[in-house]
Formats: sequence, structure tokens, C-alpha cells
Amino acid sequence: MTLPLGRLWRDRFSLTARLVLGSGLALVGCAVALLYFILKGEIADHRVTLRERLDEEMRFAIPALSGPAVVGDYAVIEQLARATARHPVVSRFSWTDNTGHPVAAVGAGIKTDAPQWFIDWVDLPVLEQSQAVIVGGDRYGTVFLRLDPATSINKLWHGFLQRLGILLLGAGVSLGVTLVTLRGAVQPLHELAASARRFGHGDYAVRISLAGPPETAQCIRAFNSMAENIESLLGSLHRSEQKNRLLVTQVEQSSDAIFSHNQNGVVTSWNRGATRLYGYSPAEAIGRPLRELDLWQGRGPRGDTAARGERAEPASFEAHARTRSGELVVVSVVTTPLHDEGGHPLGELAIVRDISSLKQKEAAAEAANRAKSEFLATMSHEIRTPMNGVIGMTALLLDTTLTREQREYAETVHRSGEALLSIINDILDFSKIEAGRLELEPVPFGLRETLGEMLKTLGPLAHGKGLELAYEIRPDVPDDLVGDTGRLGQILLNLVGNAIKFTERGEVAVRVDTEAVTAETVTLKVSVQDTGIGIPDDKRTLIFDAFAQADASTTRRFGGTGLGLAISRSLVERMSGRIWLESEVGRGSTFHFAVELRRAEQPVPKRVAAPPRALRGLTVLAADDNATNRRLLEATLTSWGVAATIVADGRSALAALEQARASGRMFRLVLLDARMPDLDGFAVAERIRQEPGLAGVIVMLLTSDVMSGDLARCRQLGVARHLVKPLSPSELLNAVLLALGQSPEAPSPPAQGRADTSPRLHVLVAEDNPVNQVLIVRLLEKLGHHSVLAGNGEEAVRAYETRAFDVVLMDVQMPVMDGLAATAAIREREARDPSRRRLPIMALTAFALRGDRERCLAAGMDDYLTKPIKPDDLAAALNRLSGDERPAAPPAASAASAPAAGPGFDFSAALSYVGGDRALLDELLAIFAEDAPVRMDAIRRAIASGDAQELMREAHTLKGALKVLGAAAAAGLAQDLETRGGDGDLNGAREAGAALERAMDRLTQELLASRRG
Amino acid sequence: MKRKWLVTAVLAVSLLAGFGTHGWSQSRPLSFGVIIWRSPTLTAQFWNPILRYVSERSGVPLQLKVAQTGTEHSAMVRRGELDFLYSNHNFIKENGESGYRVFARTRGDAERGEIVVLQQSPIQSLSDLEGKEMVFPHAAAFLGYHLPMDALLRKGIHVKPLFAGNQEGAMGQLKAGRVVAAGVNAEVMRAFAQRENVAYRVLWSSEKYLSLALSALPSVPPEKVKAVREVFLQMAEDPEGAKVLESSAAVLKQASPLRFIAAKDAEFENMRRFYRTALVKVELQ
Repeated sequence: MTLPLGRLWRDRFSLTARLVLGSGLALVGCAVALLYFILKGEIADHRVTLRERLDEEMRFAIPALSGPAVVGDYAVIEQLARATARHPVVSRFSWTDNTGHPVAAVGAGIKTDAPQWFIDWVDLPVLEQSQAVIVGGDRYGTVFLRLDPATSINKLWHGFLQRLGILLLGAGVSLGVTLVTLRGAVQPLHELAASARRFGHGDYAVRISLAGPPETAQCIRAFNSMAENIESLLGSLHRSEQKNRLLVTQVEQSSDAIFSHNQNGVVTSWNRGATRLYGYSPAEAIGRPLRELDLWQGRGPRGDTAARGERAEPASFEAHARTRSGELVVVSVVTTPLHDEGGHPLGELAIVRDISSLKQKEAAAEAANRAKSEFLATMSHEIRTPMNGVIGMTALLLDTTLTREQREYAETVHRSGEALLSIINDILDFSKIEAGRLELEPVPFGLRETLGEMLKTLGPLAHGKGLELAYEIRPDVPDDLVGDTGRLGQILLNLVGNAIKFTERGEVAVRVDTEAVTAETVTLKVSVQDTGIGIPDDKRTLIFDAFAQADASTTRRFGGTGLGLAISRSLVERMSGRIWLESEVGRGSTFHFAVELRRAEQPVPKRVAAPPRALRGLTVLAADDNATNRRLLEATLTSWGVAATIVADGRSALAALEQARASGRMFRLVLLDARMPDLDGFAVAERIRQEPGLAGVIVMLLTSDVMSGDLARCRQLGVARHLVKPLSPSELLNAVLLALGQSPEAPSPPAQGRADTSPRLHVLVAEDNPVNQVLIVRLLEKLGHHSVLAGNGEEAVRAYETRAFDVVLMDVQMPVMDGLAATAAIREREARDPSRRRLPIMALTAFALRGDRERCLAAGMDDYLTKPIKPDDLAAALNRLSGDERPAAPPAASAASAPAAGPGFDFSAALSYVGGDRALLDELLAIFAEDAPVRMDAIRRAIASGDAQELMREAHTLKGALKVLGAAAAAGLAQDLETRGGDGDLNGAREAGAALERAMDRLTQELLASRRG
Repeated sequence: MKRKWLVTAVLAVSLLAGFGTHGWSQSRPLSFGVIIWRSPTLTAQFWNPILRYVSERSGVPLQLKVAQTGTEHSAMVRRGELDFLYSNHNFIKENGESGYRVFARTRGDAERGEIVVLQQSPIQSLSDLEGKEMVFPHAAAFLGYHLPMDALLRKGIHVKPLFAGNQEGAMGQLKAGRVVAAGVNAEVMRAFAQRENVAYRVLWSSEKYLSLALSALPSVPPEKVKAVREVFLQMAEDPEGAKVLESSAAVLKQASPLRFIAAKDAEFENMRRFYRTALVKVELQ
């Protein structure tokens, strides 16, 4: 008992002991208190009961005794006394009369069972009372009564014993239950304690199975959860440590110099790479200010501030690192600000890499690339120059008198040359794209006009295969845009060309829509749909790759380099667009491309102005069996404010006409597709002419191909205009206005003949290649200019000094002195002699790269022409350089609307022949179209009849016409027949005649297609 | 045992009485016997205050003697054990020898006994009652039973007597029609009929009789009788005496207290005569 009770309770007593002892004591306390208070209450009750009993007995005894007392009947009194005394509580009852005579009875006398201490504690008194019996005021005697508490004591004692027993039993049961329950609850706690100890000793996997009451189970669950969390945390910590260690190892072993500094610019970490690079050990570097170490000489954008440790933004730059030994090393520096978790700056981390060797390699690579570009340019020049010669000279050759065999050979060479040039152009384009040196030249353009012109060049190709070529531009597509029309045209022509190439029958339709329109930009979506062979699923991505076609056999069957789509894709991507396709084998393909173009700030000048008011409300009926064409017609006509009725066939057109006449609302103009099933355009036109009620109706025919005799039929049927599809809106408008007898509001009339309006120029041609010399001189002659040749730059400079020239055409690459040097020399002389006016110099180069143009311009040249030189380009350039601001031929009219050189038709030549007078040319073409079949008939007849003279005459006549039109190939064939006729040798004349017929057919189509082109 | 004790007691009292008449009269209280009213206790409560007053005023000590039963009281009268008497037991034939002489009586008129039937009863005469059931208060009722029954017996009419216990009960049974006729106290019947609105006819009526009398043994000295008589006669006049009488009347809830007036022995002669000649078996209270 040396321990105080409280401490003993705290330290020695288990939970069970505490609970059993505590609850036992509490129970006993309660029981004792309960017993005490119950007993006290009962004692009080008994005391009161005894007192009441005494009073009650007396109250009963007095009246009961009065009668016998009055009468003096002692027998009754005795009986009463005995009866009263028989009650266990009454120990004595007695009656004493006035004379002292007693009558008494004594109770049975109850023995008390309780022990003396209980009797003493209960303290119930023996109650006695005596009372006189008085009746009518006279006393008759005294009654005495004594009550014994023994019965009450016995009752109390037995009650006490019973309750004590019940309480003891209850306490025992309660403690027993507590003990059992606690044992069940405490056992898991022991396990918990043991597990916690194990966990503390590192057994983190220990878990306890759930047992015991909910509270204990909750503890166990909490322990398990805690153990789980701690184990997981330790796992994370371990992984984090490993990661950290790895990171430290990576940083430490990194070949890059990695170090950090704090906000004050003092170095806080320094890895091995830093030691290697700078030569400072970590001990030397850490703790020193960056400024002191002078780690790099600022060359990057913020290198100067880096040393001061002032940056707060990530930075990347190159600099020269100064090593401990003072050596300067080229480095790349990446700095990153360091922040704590609260975002407060801690300093900066720098990663410095020695890039001196990389720089050397880069310089070497740049040099190699430059060399490659030079090589490419040289090769381009070297290939194009002879190609230019080959093609140009072949063309000139074909203009001369040749035997049939020679002509065939020459034509083959010419065609092969053109094909080769096209391939070379593709390859050069691709090379430029691959080299990333392709640059776009965006210019403002009118979408509808440009597109129409682009497609028109392909019209003959499509029509030659009997295909419908239609295009549609949604009305809501803005027209005035800015883009590289050349490249857009290249993409479109490639796609449409492919579509035509791979389509045997049906149509090729071009649709232009927008994907998105903003105030500044338009995302143009162009779809080219054909009804061709289609492309299998697995080839769809492949075909956009270079040198790939859907099938190897395709190349063999259809020809081509396989570069067209790859170039198109690159061009589209270069324009931040995309290209894709939908296709079904056997049903056709649709190629789409979408490019984002800027909108022109100013409206682009159009060849055809807005339709005049006169067209508003004009009633027009149009019939075309092709749905695309119908949509196009409807969109175009509606946009003019014309009241258009569009039908799908001839019968519907007649029905509409009839209905209109019946309602008194005549159609002023009827547009008829020439070729329609059932009832074609000619038939409809004929019906109209036969109907007197429709006399005032103006009929126009639209055709995809021109059959022999069509024009004659048109004239016969009174068709006002005959148009070849595809039609551009402006073309249609002009035709409609002409048909209605109104003047087209074209802003500029066709260019006048150069010989009449352009000044005759003195041109110095500096060209080393004899073939090109001849070609250029010829072209200049054709344009009516004088030319002086110089074989190299030196000669050119000399010629410049001796004569006055209006323009110099300067080849860039020449022996002795190249074009650039010669230009510089000329400019130098001009500078020395202010009296000399500045001489326009045009570069002639086969260089295809954009940088060449800049080089030329930088050298002092004024313009730039790429070989092979086209007559129109040359003429336009000469006009520009000679100061004649009027375009010799409007670029759109000469270049964009010119059809691609067909097998036998040289549009430029034809145009230049008539002095650029388009109207005259059209007229001539129309006459030719009518006259040629007549001549061909005559030739056929002459061959059939063997009439050599007739053949010579007719062939000569035809040849003259063909030459005028620049139809060199056909002219060659005619020339062949003429020669045969002149020679009187008609052997092979039939074959030659058939060849001429084929050429004439093609030519007729081409000519019709280009009549208003 | 009880009887033995009683005999001893009676002997002792007789002996004492004999001693009293021989010179101990001054110290020995004179016994004053009364008939039992309801119970001995109530009787004692009624008479003890009156006797205490009379004793104090007359100087003659009186001690109440209450018998256990009427028979016992009658026997005590017959044996002359009681010096003074308030009773009618001294008038019956068996007790004629005791020699008690009346000196006063309670105030009140002489009363009759009657045989009555309900007004609408078919009984027209006493003879109609032959063999019928007839109700009486109780067998000790002088006016209600002794007189009517004696009259019927004298006429040779036999009825089947029923006892209602008291006068009210007999009248109630008549009213209810349970019996055809009743023997009643004429005054009480009249009051009842008035109270209960009962119409009745009187078939037979007795002569008038006085009720109870104060009497003394001839052996009691005349001065003592006189002294006692005087106090009783004056008691109602004395405020204190009147108060005692009122409080005693209250014990028995009597409407009016007793009042004693002078009476002569001859006033009770018709009663003595009746009892001497009565055919009915007399039983007193």
C-alpha cells in the first residue's frame, strides 16, 4: 500500500478490473441506498400503521364496551377483550371498572425473527393507550390497549432479506455480464496493442481481423486504415525517394551543366556537368554569386540579365560560356524560375549545354544545304535551258515546211519535250517543297472569274473525252480574295486534270463553298467530283504521298509522275489547309481541299462589271439535263436579278414556253443545252423558230462539244449565241448582253495589235545559248521589236556602251560575265553618267527558286522571266519595262484564260497574229469553224478521187488558216498533204488525211472552247 | 357462569338496597330504572345527564339502571329492585304486586289505538278481517298491537299478525297494499296519512290511554320522592334543566324534549285494567 490509491487505480488495475470494481461498487452503493430508503419508508409506514391501528382499536373498543359497561355485562366485555387480544398485533387488552375490577386479555405474543441489531435499528416502539369509557357524562371504567411491533419487525426483516437477495443476485448477474462482455471486447484490444507493437517494429503488413463489439471493431478498422495509409505513404515515400535519387543521379550525371541560384544570384547547386563545363568544383561554385563566376557572356535575348539573376520568366538562348580557364564555349542556356509551393520565387535553374560541336555541324549542314540549293538551281537551269531550246525550236521547226515524217518526228519531240518539262517542273516544285523553300505570292483576285478561267483550260481535255465539266460556286462565297492564284490553280488543275484523266464517262464537277467566313478571312472548300474509276480505301492516304498512285499499273496506263497530289497536298498544307477525298471504287471520287484565304480589302477589278439594270426582271428559260449545270445556271441567273425558269429537258422547256405564252408572259431569252436526251437543244430551237408565237424569243445554245455542222445549224436556226461549257459567269453575261443587243460593260477593250500601238523597241538580248538566242530573237521579231544579240555579259555591257537600247533581256548564267555582274556593270555606268536614263533590265533565268528573283532584283534588275519564255509573258514584260502601263494583253486574257497548249493550237500565236484583237480572232475562228469542214470535205474528196492539184490547193488554203490560228500541228499535217499534192504523190495521203481529220476535230473543239476564252 | 354472576350481582344489589332502607339512604344512590330505548348506551346517554341534574338539584343521588332486555327490566320491576321507575312495566298484571306509585308523567295527551284499512278497501268491518293478514308495529306496541289485537280477540276474529318492526313500517305496508289492515297509533297514523296523502278508514278505535309514568317504590322515603318529583316537574322551567333536556332529546333526535308533569296513579287505572283483562299475550319492550 505504498502506492497512493489513485496511482494504484491508474497503474495496476486493468480495464476489466476497473469496470467490474467500479460498477460493482456503484451497484452495491445503489443497492444499499435503495434498501436503506425502502426500509426507512417501510418503517415509517409501519410506525404510522401501528399508531393508526392503536387508534382504530380504541375507536372500536370504546363504543363496543359502552353498552356492556352501562348494563354491567362483564361477560360481553371479557369476550370483547379476548377477541381483540387475539389479533397478533395486540399484546394486551384490559377493562377496569370504576371499582377497579379488571377484565383483561393478553395477546399470543409474537416472536421476532430479526436479529437484535435490526430491531434496534428499526426502533419500532411498543404502543400503549388507555381511555376512560364515559356514557352520558358518567364514567363506567377504563380501557387499556398495548400493541406489539414484533409483527411489523418480522415483516420488515423478511422484506429486507428478500430485497437484499434480489439486489445481490442482480449485482452478481450484472457484474458477470459486464465481465463476459468486457473480456470479449478487451481481447481484440489486446490484439490491437500487439499489432500496433508489431507495426511499430516495422511489420507494416500487419492487419487485424474485425472482432468484438462495434466500438472495438471501429478501433480495429481505424487501425487497419491507418496502417494502410501509413504503408501506402511509406510506399509513396520510398518511390519518391527512389525517384528523387534517380533525379539526383540524372542531374548529377547529366552531361549538361545544371545549376541553380537563389533570388540573390548566389549559386545553390552545381552538378558534375557544370564542373566539367566550367571547371569549378561544387565547393568552389556553391555559395558564390553568379556575377563573380561570370558563367556566360550574354549573347541570348536576356543573357545579360541572366548573370544578375534577375529573370522571372523561363528563357532559352545561346551564349558563350566562360570557363574557369577563360576559354569561351558556345552553349545553349535554358533557365527556369523556381518557385516554392506558395508560388514565391526561390531563384532559378539553369541548364547549360556545350553546343560548340553542334554549331560546327550545323554550319557544315548549312553549307551542304546551300551547296544543294546551288546544285538544284544549277541543275534546274541546266535542264530547263536545253528544254527551252528543244521545245521552242521544235515549235519553230514545226512552222517550217517539213516532210510528213519529219513533222511527225518533230511533233513527237515537241510533245515529249512538253511532257518532260512538265515532269521537271513537278520535280522542281517538289524539291522546293521538300527543301522548305516554297513561298507563296498572294495577290488579290476575283474568285469566280479566276476559277472560270482556270477550268476553261481544261474544258477541251474533258470534252475531248466526252465528259461534262461543270463548276459551281455557292452564291454566298465571297468573290474578292487574296491568295496565290498560281498555286491555287496548280492544285485545282491537278485535281481536275486527274479527275478527267481517270474518268471515262460522266462528268467532272467542281464545287466551291465556304467552311467559315469572318470579316477578314474565308475558309474556302473546293470539291472536285468525278464519276471515274474511284480509289480503294487502302490507297486513299497513299495517293497523297510522293511518287505514289493508287496502282502501279495506273502510272503505266495513265502516265504522270505521281507527284501531282503530293505537291497539291504540300501546297494546301502550306496554305494552312487540308486535303482529303471520298471515293467509291467504280462510282467515282471526290477530292476536297480547304484553305484559308484573306479577303481583299478593296474589290478586285473584274473584266465584267456587275450586270446592268436592264437584266433585272428579264424572263429567262434555261434547259440543261446536267443537274450541276442547272444549279450553276440558276445561281448565276438569279444573282443577276433575272426571273429564271430552269428545266431538265427539251420537252419541259417547250412546255414552259407554251405555258408562258398562254399566260401572256413570254420568255425573252432561252438558254438550251445542245445535247440533251430525247429532245436536244437544236430540236427545241427548231420548234421555237417554227412557232410564230415565239418569234421574239432569243435562243442561245450551250454545248460541251462542238460537232461538225453545229455552227451552221445554229445559224440556220437563228440561234443568237453559241457557248461552250464550262461557262464563267462573266462569259455568260457578256454573251447574254450581246444576244440582247446590249454592249458588254467590259472595262478594257481587247488589246490592240502591238505593232500599231506599242513602240518598236530596241532590245539587247544577252544570251549565251544559240538556240535560245534564235528563239528570243524570233519572238521579238514577232512582237515587232528590234534585237541585238550578246553572247555573254561582257558583250552585253559593251553593246550597252555603244548603242542605246530600250530594254535588256539578260540571261543570268553566262560565261565570261554572268547576268548579275553585267547588270551591276551597267548600273554602275548609269550611276557615273547621270545623263543616261535608267535602262530596264529583265532577267532571263531557269532558276526556279524564289531567292533567285531577289538576287536578280538585288543586282539591279527590274523584272524577271522564267524560261521557257512564253511570247505573252515576254510581251507583257516588255510592255511593263518599256513604260507602257497598258497591258499588252490583259494578263487574265492572255495567260489565265488561254487554254493550255493543245496538240495543235497555239492561242498566243493566233492572238499575236491578229495583234491581240480578240474580237477579230473570234470572228476568224467562227469563220474557220464553218469553213474548215468544207475544206476537209474537199480534201477528203480530193484524196478519194486522187485529185492531187485539188488536194494541194485545199490543203494550202487550210494550212494558211491553221497557221493564222497557230495550229502548228494541224498546219503541219495540212502542209504535209499540200506537199503530197504538190509532189503528186498521193501514197499515204489517205492516212495523212485521216490524221488531219482527227487533228481538225480536236482543233475545232479547242477553238470553240476558246472563242471567248 | 354468566347466570351465576348475574344472580350474585342481583343478590348483592338487593342486600345493598335493604341496607339502604335501613339508614344508609344518605350515601347509597337510589336506583332509577328506565325501559331500554334503542340500546343501553343510547339510553344511558339520554338519562345520565337528566339524572345527574335531578340528583344535584334534589340532593337525592340517583343511579341509572338499564336492563339488558325488556324482560329483564320487567323482572327487576317485579322484584322491586328499582327505587324509581320510568316505565309502563309496573302496570301489567304480573307486576301489580310491586306497588310502584305514579308521581309524574311526561307531558302529552292520552292516545288511542286503531284498526285501519285503506279508503278503497273492500273491508268494511272487523269481521271482514277474519283469516286475513294484518300488520302491527311489533309485539310490544301497546297502542298498535295490544289494544287492536285484544279487541279482535274479544270479537272472536282471528287474523294472521305480521310485525313490521315499527309503526312506520306497518303503515308503509298498508299503503303498499301488502296487507288489508293495520294496527296503529291513531295520532301517528293521522300524521302519516297527511304526510303521505293516504286515505284510510278506521274500522275500530280504542279508548284513550296515557303512555309512560315516573313511579317510585313505596319504600322510598316520601321526602326523597317529593324532592325528586319537584325537580322533574320544574326541570323544563329551569334554563339549565331545559338545556339538559334538549341535549338528551338531541341524543335520540327527538323533535321536542321531554317535559315532565304531575300525574296521579289513578290516571293509569284504564291501563292497569286493560292488562288485568287482556286476552292478548302481553309482551313489553
